[in-house]
Amino acid sequence: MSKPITLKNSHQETRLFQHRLWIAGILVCALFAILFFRLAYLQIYKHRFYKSLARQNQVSTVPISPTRGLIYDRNGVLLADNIPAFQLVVTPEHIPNLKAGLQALQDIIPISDEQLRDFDARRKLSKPFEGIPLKLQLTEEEVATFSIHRYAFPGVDIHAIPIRHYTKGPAFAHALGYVGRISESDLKLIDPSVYARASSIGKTGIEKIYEETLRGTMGYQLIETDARGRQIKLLSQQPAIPGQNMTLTLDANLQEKAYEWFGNQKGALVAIEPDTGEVLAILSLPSFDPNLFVTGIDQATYHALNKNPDMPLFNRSLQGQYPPASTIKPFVALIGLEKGVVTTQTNIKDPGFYQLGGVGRRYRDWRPKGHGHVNLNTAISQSCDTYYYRMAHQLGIEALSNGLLSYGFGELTGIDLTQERAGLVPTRQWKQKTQHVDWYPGETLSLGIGQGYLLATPLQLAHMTAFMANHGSQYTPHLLKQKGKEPLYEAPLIRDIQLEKSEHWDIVINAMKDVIAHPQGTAHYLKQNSPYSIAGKTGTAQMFTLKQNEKYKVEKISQHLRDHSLFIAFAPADNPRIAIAVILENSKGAPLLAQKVIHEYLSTIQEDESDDKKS
Amino acid sequence: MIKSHRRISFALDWPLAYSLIGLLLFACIILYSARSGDTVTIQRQIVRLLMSGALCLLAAQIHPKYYKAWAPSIYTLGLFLLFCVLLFGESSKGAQRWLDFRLFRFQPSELMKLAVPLMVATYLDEQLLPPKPKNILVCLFLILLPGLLVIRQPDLGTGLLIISSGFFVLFLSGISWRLIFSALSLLILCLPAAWMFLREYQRERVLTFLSPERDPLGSGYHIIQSKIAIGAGGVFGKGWMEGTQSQLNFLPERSTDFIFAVLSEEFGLIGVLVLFIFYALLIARGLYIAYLAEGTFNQLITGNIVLTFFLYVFVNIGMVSGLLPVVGVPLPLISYGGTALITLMIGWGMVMSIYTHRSSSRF
Repeated sequence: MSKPITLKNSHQETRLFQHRLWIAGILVCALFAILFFRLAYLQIYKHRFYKSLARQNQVSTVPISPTRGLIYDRNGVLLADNIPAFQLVVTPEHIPNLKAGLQALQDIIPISDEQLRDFDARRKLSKPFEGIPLKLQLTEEEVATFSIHRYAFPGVDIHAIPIRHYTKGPAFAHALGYVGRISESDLKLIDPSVYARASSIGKTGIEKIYEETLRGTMGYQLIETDARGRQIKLLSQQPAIPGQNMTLTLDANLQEKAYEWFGNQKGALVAIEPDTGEVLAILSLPSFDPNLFVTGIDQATYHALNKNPDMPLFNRSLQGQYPPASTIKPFVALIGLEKGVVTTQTNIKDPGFYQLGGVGRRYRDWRPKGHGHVNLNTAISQSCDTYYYRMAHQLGIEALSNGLLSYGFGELTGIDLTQERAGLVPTRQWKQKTQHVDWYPGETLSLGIGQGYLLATPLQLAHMTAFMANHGSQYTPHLLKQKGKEPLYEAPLIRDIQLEKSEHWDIVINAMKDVIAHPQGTAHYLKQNSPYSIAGKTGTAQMFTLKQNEKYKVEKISQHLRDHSLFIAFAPADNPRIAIAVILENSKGAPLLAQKVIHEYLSTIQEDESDDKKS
Repeated sequence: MIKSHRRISFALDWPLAYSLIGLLLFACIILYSARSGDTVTIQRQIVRLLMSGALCLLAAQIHPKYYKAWAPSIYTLGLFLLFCVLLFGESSKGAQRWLDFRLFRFQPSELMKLAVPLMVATYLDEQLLPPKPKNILVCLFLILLPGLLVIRQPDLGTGLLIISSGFFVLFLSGISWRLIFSALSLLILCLPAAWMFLREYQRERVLTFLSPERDPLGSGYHIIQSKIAIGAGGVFGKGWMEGTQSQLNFLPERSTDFIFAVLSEEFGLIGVLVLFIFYALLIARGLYIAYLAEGTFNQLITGNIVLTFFLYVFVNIGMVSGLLPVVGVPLPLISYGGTALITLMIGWGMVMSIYTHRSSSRF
């Protein structure tokens, strides 16, 4: 008050203020009156209306989950079933003291902190009087224990609900995927009216892609509840409509046997019926038990799976991007023939290496002393790198990468499974864009033998092998055979490549037959006891770069740096029924494994077909 | 003045104190029912009541001249904290409102509810009234800067309340009616622009307000259930702890923003009247004190605290009964929770201080 405020006309200001205060006071009274009239309107005039609504509130709607559609293989073998599981369900409104009630419950049935946390989280999302699952899979012993003590726990119930069961376990984990409980992130994406809180949702694989087919439609029960929330009687109900069953193109027998033959090796296998694109088997190893996920996996187990260095959750068959190595050679040969860079008459003498312009760095062949005189046929059947270095150099990067892209390398196959990756066909522009460096001529040579930047998934390799077997027609690989009673699914023809000369197919395919048939072929050892003619191509993907004069010695290199072994094949060569790609990580033996699968499949369909003829 | 400091006296306005105590006791009864007889939370709330009561008494002992002297520092601190919230505040339910000081969490916007009117009143106290256009511009800046910061958090309800309490000071200071009416018409013209500024969930609230049946299980659920509770209460109510809407969990947030619906359902229109009488007594006494206050600062601050308090009452009951959109304002002195209660009680303490430190009461 020491400021020069002497000029202020205190009296006049006070009068102005008091005047305003009067107006404010009148406004306050008016607004109070409005509130009062509003409340009187609601509480007197509309009282009966709202009273009946309050009563209606006491009628609760209980959702009924539909049973999920079953999944069968192509021969009617059940792959995904529903089995009853006993859930401990708590309705908090029915328990006088929730905290104490839960504590007492814990004394007779073990409940983890994680389950309590989940329960709290779900409670916040649930509507009043909705039963909230506390423990999702009770053992028979726990069911018995609870039944004895049931009287002591009002508001706690055991519900028998159907849950998913994967009959074949890990062998089908990556193909079928799994269902799991609806998470908060799922809730943002789905229409909440078609799911109950307790229902499951497809998380990966077939279960996710065909969620809408498998799910079915929710039903409802209207139940009258008294003021305390106890259910008095069932007023009406609308039953749930079960999900549709599905038949897949997979051959369960083949898939299971292949899974066994892998043993504890890591890798992937994809088998396709070439003239339809039907996937007969698709495996990734190591695998996991999908049943763990159905009622919610506990954190420790999930952590262990997720951190496992062998990556069991990683679906190698369509997420794993590998250098295709020599399995690319038949396709490069096709490009070479089409561009006129090579003919069946093109011969070279292979000294065991190739030098750009005859000088500088030596690009080495896998066989140190070389293959001697090589033509196109022997270049494929003996997998001569030198021949391909030369061919790749003459083709140049543009022709080579454009050729591979035009066949479908580097693009998603569009299979009806989740998380597929596209592989990679490097181009000049791609390198400029991602690494800001020009393309080196030497990299074209690596590309010619399927090394360097080139990447493909096992699924892509099987898909491309089917394309070769079909002489250029390509179908989207798929697992869907039939939904419910709909007509059988047929995949569209997505590519039908007409070559300049159609005999180019036979030139390459004959060389692929010689991989097994010719005494010098890289997989000639498969020839023994082979009743079927197989056209194939071996490959070895280097995980370890040798120095210029070093030799590859298996025992010197640690396990995870050892070469991957690859094999692509189709059989019978003249009337292909199966096209296959196998990759074994850090191990040899892909050709043998592929051969076993081919034999198994061809002998079973032969039996079936002869049975058909007899009858 | 020196004399009055020497005299050992206890500054307290009994009519205000009676109304406050009455309201707080009533609050305990309703809260007990809204919490379905959970004694632990009630005990916690009683501790908060006692604490805020003590703060109210403390505030009543401080001479108003100190409030005026402290106003710029409090305002600056508040602004600083608001910026802190913007930079590294705790978010809960998608909004950044809290500052976590490890020991306690603090909502700076709550401090601003008192700091903005204090600052504006302090500023206007130095000017000739009614304020000139230049002064009004300064006031607008002082009000809108923190107000818009709070709206950005986003907390539209609190932001608007802070802005309106600032405007109350301007109104009481006597700005011309022409200005008030042109500002109001401008505001109406600007509504479409404001719509663009709102967050998705705030728009949702406005739309639901206009037609709650649009989304009966989602955002409309609150208002539908609350109207049912009020209407079902009738004249006499269903009786203490007997409301089905409240006790059976149909009513959301029944111990905080929607506690008025619990009161209406269980005590009916009679209970509503009792609450209104307590509020009316408090507000009438407050306006009376403002009328007698001396000096521009004291007048403006008292008038503002009382009118802002009424605004909270009006907005909350208006929202719960479906007259106004759901903006998330608790019912003053009744809703469960500590921060808002403390701010309000300190405000009433300041009113008491202004009343008891009048020159007429001193001599």
